[in-house]
Amino acid sequence: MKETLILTKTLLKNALNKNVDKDTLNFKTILKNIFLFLAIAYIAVVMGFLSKELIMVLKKMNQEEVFLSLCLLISVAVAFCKSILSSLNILYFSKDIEFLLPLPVSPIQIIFSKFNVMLISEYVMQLITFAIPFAVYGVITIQEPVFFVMAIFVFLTLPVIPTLLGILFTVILMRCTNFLKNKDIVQYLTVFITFAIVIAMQIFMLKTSDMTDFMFANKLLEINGVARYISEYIIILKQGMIALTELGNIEAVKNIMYLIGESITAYVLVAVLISKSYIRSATNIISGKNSKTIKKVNIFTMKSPKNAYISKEFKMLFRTPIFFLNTILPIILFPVLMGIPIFNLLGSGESEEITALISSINGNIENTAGFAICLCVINFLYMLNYISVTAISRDGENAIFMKYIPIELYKQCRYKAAPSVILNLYPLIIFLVVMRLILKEISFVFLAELFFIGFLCNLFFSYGAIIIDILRPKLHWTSEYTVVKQNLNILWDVLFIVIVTIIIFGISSFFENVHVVTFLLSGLLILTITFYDNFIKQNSINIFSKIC
Amino acid sequence: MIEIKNVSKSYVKNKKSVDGLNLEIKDGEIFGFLGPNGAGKTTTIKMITGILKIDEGEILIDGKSIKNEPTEAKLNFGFVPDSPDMFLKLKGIEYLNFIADIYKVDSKARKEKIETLSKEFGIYDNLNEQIQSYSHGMRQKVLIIGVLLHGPKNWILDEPLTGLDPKSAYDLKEMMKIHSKKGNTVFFSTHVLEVAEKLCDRIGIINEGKLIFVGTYEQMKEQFKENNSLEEMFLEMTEK
Repeated sequence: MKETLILTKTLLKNALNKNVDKDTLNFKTILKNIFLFLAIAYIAVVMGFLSKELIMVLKKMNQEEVFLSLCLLISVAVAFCKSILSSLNILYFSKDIEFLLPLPVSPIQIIFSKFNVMLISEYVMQLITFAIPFAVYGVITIQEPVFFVMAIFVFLTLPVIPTLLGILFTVILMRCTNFLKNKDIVQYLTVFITFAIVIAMQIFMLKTSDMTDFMFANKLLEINGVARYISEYIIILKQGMIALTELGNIEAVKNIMYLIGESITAYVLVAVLISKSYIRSATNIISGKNSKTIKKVNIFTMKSPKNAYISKEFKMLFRTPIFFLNTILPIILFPVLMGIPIFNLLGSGESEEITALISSINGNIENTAGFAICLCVINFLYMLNYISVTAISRDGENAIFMKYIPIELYKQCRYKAAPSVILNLYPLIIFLVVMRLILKEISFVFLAELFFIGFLCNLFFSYGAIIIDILRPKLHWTSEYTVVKQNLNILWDVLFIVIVTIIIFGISSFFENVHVVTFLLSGLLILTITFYDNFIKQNSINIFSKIC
Repeated sequence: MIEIKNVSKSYVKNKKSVDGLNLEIKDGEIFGFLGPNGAGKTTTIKMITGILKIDEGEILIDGKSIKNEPTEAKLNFGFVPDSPDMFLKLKGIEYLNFIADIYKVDSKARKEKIETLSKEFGIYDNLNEQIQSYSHGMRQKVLIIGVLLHGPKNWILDEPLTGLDPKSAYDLKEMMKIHSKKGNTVFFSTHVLEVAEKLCDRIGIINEGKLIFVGTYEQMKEQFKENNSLEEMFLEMTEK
C-alpha cells in the first residue's frame, strides 16, 4: 500500500514535470502558471454560464432533472473515451516502465499506481468540466446541502468504472492489434478525434443557433430520451441519478454504497485481469519487439538531389506528429473551419441582408483597396505556416548535416523553403475559390492578379522565414514541442508578415489602378527574393555560423 | 589526402581552441586523432568537414580547399559524426537512398552496396524500419553505410566505434584497413587508446588546441624511452 502511494506520487510528479529544483522557479514558470490558471478559470466560467443557460431553458418546462441525467451520461462517456487515449500514453508509451520494473515492487503495485494517476487526472478534468455544472444546478434549483454531499460522492465514484473499462479496452486492443503500438499513430489519432469532435460541435452549434428556447429544450428532451434508454444498460448511471434525485430517501444512500462497492471491486478486478498481459506488451513496446513481418527492401530508385532533399523534408514533417500537428494541420484545417460557417451562411437561404452585402462587395472589390484587403487575408493565412521559420531548428543538432554535404547552402535553403511554398498554395487556392463562389461577378483577371501576388508573397515569406531561422536557430532542444511552441522566431515571422502587409496597404493606397499595383508589387517582391537568394549565396559561411 | 596547414580557431577572444595546427594525412594511411575532452579534436574535425569556419590557415581535401571550393572538397570525403541520431523518422533504406541521391550514386550501384553492406553489418532486415527504432549501434551502422555508399577516398570518422558491438567494430576496423590499403585515407578520432595503438599507421595527440605529438606508436615509445603503454604515455603527455 505504502509503495503504491509512493509510486503514485512519483508518477504524478513526473507527469506534471514537477521534479525541477525549486531554485529554478523563475519568472517564466510563474507566468506559465498564471496563464494556466487563467485558462482553467475561463473554461470554468464558460461551463458555468452554459450550464445556467441550459438549466434555465429546462426549468421553464419543469424538466431541470434532464440536465442532471445528461451531465452524468456525458461524464461517463468522456471518462471512458479519455481513458482509452490516456491509458495508451500512461500505460504503454511512458518510458517510466523500464525504470519501474527493476524496482522491488510487484507488477500489480505498478498497475495500481498507474490507475491512480489516471483517476486523479480524470478527477481534475471532471472538476473543471462537471463539478461546476453540478454546483450551478444545485444553486439554481435551490437544493439542500445533502445534494452537494451526494454530488461529491457521485463525482468521486462515477468516473472509476468507465475509466477502468477504458483501460481494459486499451489492453485488449493492444493485445490484438499492432498498429496502435506506434506512438506516432496514437498521437495522430488523438488529435484527429479531437478535431472531429470540435467540428461536430461547431456544426451542432450552427444548427441550434436559430432555435427558440422551446425548440432547444425539446431537442434536449429528445437527447435525454436516448440517454434514458442507454441508462437502462449502464447501471452506474441509474445509481448516480437515484443518488442525486431521491435525496430524502434511503435509496440514495443505498445507491451510493453500491457505486462505492462496484468501483472498488472493478479497481481490483481490472488490475488483476490485465497485470500479466500489460507488463508483457509494455516491455515489448519499449524493447521495440512486435510481430512485425520483415518487408523486403526493394526501393533503389534514383532522384535528383533537389527532389531527394525536398522529399526528405516532407517525410520529416509528416512523420513527426508534433511537427505535423503544429505546422501542417493548421494550414489544412483553418480554411475548413472557416469554410463551414461561410457555407452554412450561404446555404441557409439567402436573406436580403446577405444578398445586399454580397452585391455591395461585388461592386466594390475590384479596386486597389479591395486588392490590398484580399492580400491581407491571404497573408493572414500564411501566418499559420510555421514550416519555414522552424525548418533549420527542427533538424536540431542534425542541422550540421547541411554543412558537410556537397550541396551549396543557398540551394539547401531553397529546398527547405519548398514545403512551405507548396503547402501555402492550399490556403491561397481555397481563398480564391471561395471568393469566386461567393462573389460571382468578380473577374478572372483580378483573381489571377491576386494569385500572382499571393504566390510571390508566399515565396517571399517562406524564404524570408528561412533566413530568420538561420540567424536565430534553436538547435539544442530536448522535445520537439519546444521548437514549434516555445520558439520566438515564430513571433519574428509574424511581425515580418505584418510589416509587409502594411507596406502592401501603403503602396495600394497611392494608386487607383490594380494592374499598376500588381506590376509594382511583383517587381518589388521579385527584387527582394533575388536579393535574399544572393545574400545567402554571398554570406553563407557567416550567416550559417550558428549552425555548428 | 588531407592537409591541415597552420589552422587556428577561437570561440572566445584571446583563447584558441585549435592553435596553429599542421597535419598531413597521406594516402593509404589510417590516422588516429587522440586527446582528452575539450582538447580540440571535434573542433578540428568540424573544420575539416566545413561545419566550422576556419579562422586562420587552410585545409585541403585531395587538393581542394574546404574554404574556397567547399562543394568539391565535400565530394572527396565521407563523414560520420559522433552522434548517430540522424533523421530518426526516416527508414534506414530511405536515409541510405537519400544519401545516395545527394552523392548521385546510380540505382544499380546503390542497390549492390546497400545490400552487401547492410548484410555485412547485420541490419538488412531492419532497413524498412524507422531509424528511431534502431539501437545506438544500428544507427551508427546506417551512418557508416551512408558514408561508404559513394566511395569517397577520404573517411573522416568522429568516434566511430562508440556503441558498436564487437563484431561490427571488428568489421569496421577491417574495412578501414582495406580502405587504406587501396591507397585511401582514414582519419578518425577516438578515446580508445588500444584501437589507436593496434589500428593506426600514425597517431596525433592534441591537447589544449596544440598538437603535441604526431608519429607512429614506435616513434612515441622512442620519444619516451620507456616501455610504457600508450595509455601511460598519453596521460603523461596530456597531464603536464
